[in-house]
Amino acid sequence: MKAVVSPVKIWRRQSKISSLLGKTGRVITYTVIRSAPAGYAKFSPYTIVLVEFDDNSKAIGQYRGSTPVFVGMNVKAVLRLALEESGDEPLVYTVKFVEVI
Amino acid sequence: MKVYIKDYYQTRFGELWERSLTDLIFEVATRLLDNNGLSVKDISAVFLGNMLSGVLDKNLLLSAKINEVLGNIGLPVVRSEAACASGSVALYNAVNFLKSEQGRYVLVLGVEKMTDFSVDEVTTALSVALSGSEQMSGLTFPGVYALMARLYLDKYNYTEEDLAKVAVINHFWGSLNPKAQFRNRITIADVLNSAYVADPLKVYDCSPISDGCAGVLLTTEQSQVEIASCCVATDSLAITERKDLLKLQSVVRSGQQALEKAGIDLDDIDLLEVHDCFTIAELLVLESLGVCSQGTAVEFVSKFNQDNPFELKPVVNTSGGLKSSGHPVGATGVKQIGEIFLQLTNQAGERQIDNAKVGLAQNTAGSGGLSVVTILKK
Repeated sequence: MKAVVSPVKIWRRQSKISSLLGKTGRVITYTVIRSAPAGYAKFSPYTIVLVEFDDNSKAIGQYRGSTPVFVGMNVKAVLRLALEESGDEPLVYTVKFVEVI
Repeated sequence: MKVYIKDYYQTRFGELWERSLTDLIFEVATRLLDNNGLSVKDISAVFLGNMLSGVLDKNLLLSAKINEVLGNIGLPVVRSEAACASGSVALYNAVNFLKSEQGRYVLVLGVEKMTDFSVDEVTTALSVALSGSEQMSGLTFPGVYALMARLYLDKYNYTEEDLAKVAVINHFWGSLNPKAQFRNRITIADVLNSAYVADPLKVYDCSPISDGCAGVLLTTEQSQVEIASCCVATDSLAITERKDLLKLQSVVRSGQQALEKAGIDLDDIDLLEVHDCFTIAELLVLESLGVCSQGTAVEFVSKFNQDNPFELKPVVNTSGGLKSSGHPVGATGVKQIGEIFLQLTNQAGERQIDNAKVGLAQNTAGSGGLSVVTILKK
């Protein structure tokens, strides 16, 4: 099954991402998705973290760091490809997290 | 104006490959009418709960389809969608319709057809009820509950074995329910040995993909079981907008309102049907309703004894819950109401609770974005 995302919807969503990039916070909880929705099979299994930023707001995203994730880990929001590339569909970017070294 | 449940009927829940969505609806509607000596003309309206027919089956405007199969008499048919609580929201609308004196009999039907599709397709379709950012991250429903489960286990120092207890109990009850999808009993080891879907949740922590339809016939004429209250409450869609991830505010709100409206204390409730889409969900609901204080639902379920299953009060999920009874999402809320109706009218067979008078059904949508609590009394 193909994930269909309208380019206009992508543009609206991506215009808000920049405010999150570079923010740092702490992993409150995480899971590993082993049964992925359409468009995400390439990344599966992947880790999703719930992060509380230093300003107490929260965000959800995949963890793409190189060291194993744990509750309490310090992470930073970075820009990454959200979905698998699919033919001539527009590329979709989103916020993911990596460890703060 | 008081509203009563006159009758309940459901198909078996499970993999019903030989029957379509419409076949399931037709079976339930006609059985409810025939059993009560009614014809379609006696019905003032039909309230339908369904989540996925537009997303999976590519069938919308079910209202006209239902009218068509029921004889095309131009019946008002109103569909409600609130993800996994679609059936209860349909009931809520039906109750308010009757209370506003617009008719004498209505049908409430909850239906879902899910097993025609692959697990990937169903996972994707269900995740439409997550927030935009949650969907974009690749989160799934098992995933969002897994995030809550890890938080719960860490905070109260419980283990995956504690979550497994909920699945074992619900399979015990499901083994006594002839309409349940799974009638096999399972052990803690079965749960722990099943594969991870979204850590720490495993296959046996999750409710299945199911087909099924459930329906109730409501009336304003005095009957055995009264709907004492039916309340809907909401929370944020995104879990990132919630202060306390382990307290489901929609459940807290709908529960308090339903008890208040019915003039009933929690202590007076003999049985509960609660939303156990995942084992962790049942624990969080028991705590959010106030049946257990926060962090103690595991202690409550740990007291359950299969040799004396009616001892622990209130009795929870005698239908087998979503876990064992099956979870055709639009039908689940109606099935919960139906299970309590069967218990209050002594029709629950091997799982019959002695002398049950008051029951509470709680139906969650999504990760807790909406909850419906309905209280029934004899």
